[in-house]
Amino acid sequence: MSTAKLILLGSKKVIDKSQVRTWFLDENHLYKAGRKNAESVDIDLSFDNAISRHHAEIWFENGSWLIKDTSAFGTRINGLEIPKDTAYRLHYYHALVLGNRTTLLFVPSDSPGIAWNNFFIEVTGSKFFSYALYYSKLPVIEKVKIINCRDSMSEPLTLCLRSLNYFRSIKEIEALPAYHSTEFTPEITVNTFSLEKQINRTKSTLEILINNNLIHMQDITMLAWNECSLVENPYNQTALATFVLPMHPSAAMAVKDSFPEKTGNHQIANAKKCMKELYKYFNETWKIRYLPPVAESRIQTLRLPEQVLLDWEHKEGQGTCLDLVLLFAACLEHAKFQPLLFMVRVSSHLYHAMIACWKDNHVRFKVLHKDIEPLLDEIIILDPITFTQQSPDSEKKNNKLSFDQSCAEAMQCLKQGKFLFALDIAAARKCDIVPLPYRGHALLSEFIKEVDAAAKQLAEETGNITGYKVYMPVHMLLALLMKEDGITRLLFKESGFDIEECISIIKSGIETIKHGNIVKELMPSQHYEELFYAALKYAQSENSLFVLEEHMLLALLKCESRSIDKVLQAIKGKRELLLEKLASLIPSLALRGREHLSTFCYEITSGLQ
Amino acid sequence: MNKLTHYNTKEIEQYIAEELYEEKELEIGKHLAECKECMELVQAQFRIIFSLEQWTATTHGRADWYVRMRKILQNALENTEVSIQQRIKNWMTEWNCRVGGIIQIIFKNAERAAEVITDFPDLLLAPGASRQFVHAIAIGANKHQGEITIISKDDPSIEITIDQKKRSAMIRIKGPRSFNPLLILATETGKPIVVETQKIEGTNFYGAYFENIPEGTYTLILEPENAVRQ
Repeated sequence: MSTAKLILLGSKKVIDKSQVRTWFLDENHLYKAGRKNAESVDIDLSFDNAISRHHAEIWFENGSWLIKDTSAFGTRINGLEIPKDTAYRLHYYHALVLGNRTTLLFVPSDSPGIAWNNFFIEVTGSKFFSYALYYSKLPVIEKVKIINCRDSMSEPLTLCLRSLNYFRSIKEIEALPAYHSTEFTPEITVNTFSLEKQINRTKSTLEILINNNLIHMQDITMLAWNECSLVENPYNQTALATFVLPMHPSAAMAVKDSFPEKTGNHQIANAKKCMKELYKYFNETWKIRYLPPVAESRIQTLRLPEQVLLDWEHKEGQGTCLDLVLLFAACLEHAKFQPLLFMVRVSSHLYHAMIACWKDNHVRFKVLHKDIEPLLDEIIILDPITFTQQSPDSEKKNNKLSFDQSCAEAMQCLKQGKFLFALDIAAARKCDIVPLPYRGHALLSEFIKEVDAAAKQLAEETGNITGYKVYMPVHMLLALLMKEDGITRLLFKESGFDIEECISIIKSGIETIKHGNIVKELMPSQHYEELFYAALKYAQSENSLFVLEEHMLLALLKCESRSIDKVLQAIKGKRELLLEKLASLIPSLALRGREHLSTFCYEITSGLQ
Repeated sequence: MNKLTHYNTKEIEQYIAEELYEEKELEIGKHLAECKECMELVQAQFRIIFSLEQWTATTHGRADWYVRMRKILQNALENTEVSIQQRIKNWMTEWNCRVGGIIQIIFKNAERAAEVITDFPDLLLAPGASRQFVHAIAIGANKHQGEITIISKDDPSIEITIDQKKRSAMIRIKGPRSFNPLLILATETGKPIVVETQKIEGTNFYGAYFENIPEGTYTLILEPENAVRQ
């Protein structure tokens, strides 16, 4: 297995671009570096004639990488000449100068670093970015390391890391002395608007620019707000705790129903009793259908509690093991216990989630546990799929087991599978990994909050002239039109309107509304309030965590507001045409029938099977 | 001022009433640590003003804390590995022995709850990185018997949980930071324990965990943020 690699950083000799520039080093092999001759060389540096035919040897021995110079021209490590024919220990990030022209950097084999003009730039972080990661203030780029591999002082640099539309970071790097490095966690400015709109997973790129020159691009995936990556890196794993929603109404209701005798703030006696009662409740009261995870289960779309406990009247629900674990954890946290989320690999691509709880409540230090042994005596663990029913087409109709059997099943699963990690939710909370602000309905996005404030401001301003301070859908439309870079402006522009003219017509129209009636206090009209309700519904039917501009726009174009009618009449616009255009601009919106959320969830899950 | 030049009553009164400029206060503090005569004057004045039976610089002196910090750091310097020594030297020189945060923990016998003292003079704290602590309001998991949680005042970026039963102290420091901050747990007499906090995996926090701490009085100090490293 390769544990190290050599990267060609630069050569004063111009070399062919197709030339090998990276050599992976295996611990069981002795590598010879030099120019090609009758005797084979592993690290072919034939492009440089100031390198000996047999210049140096590199090998692994007793836990260390070693180098021996066997050349006539000499070898330097970080500027220091090493003695000939003597083994010298190599450390990661050592710069080797062979002869006097060719520089190689010795790095770990998994280093994502790149070479640029005798600099080595290593950007490490997550390959996935998500709203949960942003909300928990966890780094998408964890560390940047820059090494000056020259034998002289470097110039100052401007480093820019960006993923278009999502985030950017700019850092001025001071001049570095020869062979010195700098390491830092970059401050990232995130475009909240883009992240809030992230309903579907998209591929993006992380661009690395130095002094405004693009030097490298690497893939990064923008997850939908309700997706998580299970195995990619520790930050993504801890971000799972944001999906445990203890204050969600469905979780709260489940706890209340499980303990009908408990009221108010009475603490349930102990963790085992709490787990047992909750288990009994889900097992006996609910018919929860188990949905196997999709093929690529290292990224999962998660269901929130109201998407698992779908039908409270008939007590029917559905979910994958992870959905059920998140729900169970939310209930335990709501009941003031300290849940742990267990992840086990059951086959090469399949993971299984289980729920556990600390027997005693204590403030604990570790958030992610990678060693299972110390945990076993301190926790109660169960397998959530043992309170589910199989899907109708499955041969096995029922998974249902008793609480004790479920605990035994979980222990069995731990023995058979490969334990990946346990996530301590209470410890995560102590490290600012807080629940997503989701309470079973969509939230206003930052964009809509700003537009709402602008609409009120417009009503205030015109109200000062007219004496009528009621804000209406038309104020919202005006505010949307005035907001730069919005979809509304694009929609009207694409529909052939002159935006500035529209704004001017609407402004003068507003000043004549209800002229004569006096309402001195700023207040919303009934239609304005309905507008938000409708936008919220559209957001939910799109499975969006946030009410976005398109949802508001759709609500505006569909609302029965006379002021909107008048405006459209004045600018010679038609609702149907604008709606049609909006559908073409935002295909995901598609303007189809707005089903109830639960129906929509059913459609999603059916599609997954 | 050298040992032989003593302070007058007015200056001592001002010192006790905390009316002096910081530099002057430090100067008197250093002098008091060495001058028995002036210390007696301070004790006498203190008794007059506050009617206390006894006063010592150890319990009440602000500037004496400066001397104690220097002693703790010097002791830590002598009892730690080479890689950490340079950082402690920088701490002593760049920050003049001031700290990024300080608390005192008193572990008593098993039947009695641990005590935590959080009130320390601002003088001890490094400018720009100063952190006073307060007892956290007991919420959620903190309200369990035997656990005391304190947080840094104003900016709750440091949290310390003391568990009497386990005789443990758990420290969490919010990041990101340019380096893992050092913590020193010093006893009144023995060798101080110097640790470099570790990143808590999967989070932005740095932490350290001390367990099975014997009975006694401990001073826990934190390296100032942005301390210069060479």
